[in-house]
Amino acid sequence: MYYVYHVSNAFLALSFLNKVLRCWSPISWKRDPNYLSTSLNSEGLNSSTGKSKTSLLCHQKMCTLEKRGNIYLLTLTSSGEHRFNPSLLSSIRTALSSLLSSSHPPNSALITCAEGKFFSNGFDQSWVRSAPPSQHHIITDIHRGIISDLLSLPMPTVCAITGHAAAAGCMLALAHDYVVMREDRGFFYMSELDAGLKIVKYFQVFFNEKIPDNQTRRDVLLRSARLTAREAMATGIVDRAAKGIEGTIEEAVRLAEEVAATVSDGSKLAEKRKLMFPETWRHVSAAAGSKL
Amino acid sequence: MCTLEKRGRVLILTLTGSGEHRLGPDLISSLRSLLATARSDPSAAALVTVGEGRFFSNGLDLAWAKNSSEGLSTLVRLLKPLIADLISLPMPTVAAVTGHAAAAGMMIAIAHDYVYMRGDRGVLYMSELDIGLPFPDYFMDLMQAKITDPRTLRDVTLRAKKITGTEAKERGIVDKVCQSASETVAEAVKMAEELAGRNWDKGVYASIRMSVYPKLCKSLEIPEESDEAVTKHFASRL
Repeated sequence: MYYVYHVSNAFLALSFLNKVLRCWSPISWKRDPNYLSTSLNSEGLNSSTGKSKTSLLCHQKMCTLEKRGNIYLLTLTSSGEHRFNPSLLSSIRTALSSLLSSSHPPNSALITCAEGKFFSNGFDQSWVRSAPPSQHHIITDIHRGIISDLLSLPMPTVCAITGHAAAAGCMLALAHDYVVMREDRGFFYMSELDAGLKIVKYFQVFFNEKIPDNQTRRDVLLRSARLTAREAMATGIVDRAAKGIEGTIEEAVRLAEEVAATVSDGSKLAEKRKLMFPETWRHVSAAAGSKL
Repeated sequence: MCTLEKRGRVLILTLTGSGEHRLGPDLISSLRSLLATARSDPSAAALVTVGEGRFFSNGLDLAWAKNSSEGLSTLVRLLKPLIADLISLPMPTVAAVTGHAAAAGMMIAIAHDYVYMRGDRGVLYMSELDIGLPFPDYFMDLMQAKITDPRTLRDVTLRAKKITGTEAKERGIVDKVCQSASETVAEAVKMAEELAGRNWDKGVYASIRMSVYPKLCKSLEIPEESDEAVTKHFASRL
């Protein structure tokens, strides 16, 4: 038996949520024209009509969280670029929060993967362009929160890079304990230099703590190198490589089971992880506040 | 003592003459002046640094320090902003280590983004332990930033090992090893041209480089870019 959790983005502020839903769920809007004139309360339910069906409009099928035995599988769904905008980021955060707040069997593990050609192509530039500058910090706030959640997760974490990973997508992958990457397709690519963008502070801090080798840091950040799985393995960024999306996920499951078998106390694991990356933890944990 | 020539978008900084290219106040000042020229040239997109003769640079001018009332500490103090210039230079940098690079000379070499070296002759050598001198703090910070394999760092600093180009490549200090001085220069220029061809924003390049070496930048007194400045830049790019 496995359970699929459709994840809602009920975290977001109201007017902002409306704007985002317009972009992301045009079909939902067409189904209920009355929705346009009603407002949402903080739980995402339509306060004037009280229709629980309306809360479905808050659901974004952008990621799913399944449970298969002791393995939790977080999947970024559909075949797009999985660009990080507030909807997708909140969906991921909701899934991780539910994992953090629920109990789970001993020797559990989390695997994160994606459908389609992309794992994640980074932050959603078109969202940023359309949002007022005062709101830009929202995507880095939530992304930072996701990294904080992954560092706090009381179970081993494995990222299955099933497709192209760029910039913030790479950082999401690195926030896992282990990384398995598809070897027949896809690049690991810190694209900032090519895109003419400076590196966000908590990315810098985390990258420096996680990847200590100078030549690797230079190649990835200062040469914007596109690494294949084999190249990423040679530099220590990736642990294992496998062919195909399914093959990559299967290898991630194998690795997750191997590691989870030895971890009896997940909370102690989480504590040690934070000690391993103290500067990162300082930057991403709740105390950091909303800075870019 | 040194020259700056331009080939297309690549600047070539040469330590001229067949001597040891010892870093005294004059050479340091000339190098800083040429780097300032490089920095302000909008069409320059990469820098290659080369040494003529048997030496890339054999370090600080100890003879000058001995004869001067100001001493070695002055040279250490004068060299620091030169290293800072290289670490903050808004373009990719390639060192073509065409001969021995010792002490401060090795510091100049590894302060570049890429280090190419000849394998047929010449060594990298932190001589301080052998001659009874301490490391200035920014030397250690630079080595810790660029030589991240612990055993290599130990051999360089605590064993004063003389490392050939080939060994330096194996141990991650050097990126490419070539058969002769002229081949080293040619390959370094080729790499610089490739990097120039990527057409990166030069300010962003410098910003990213400095963010990779925060401790070193602090040691060199290079001001840290604020979060606000990065945010503003992000907004302006879209």
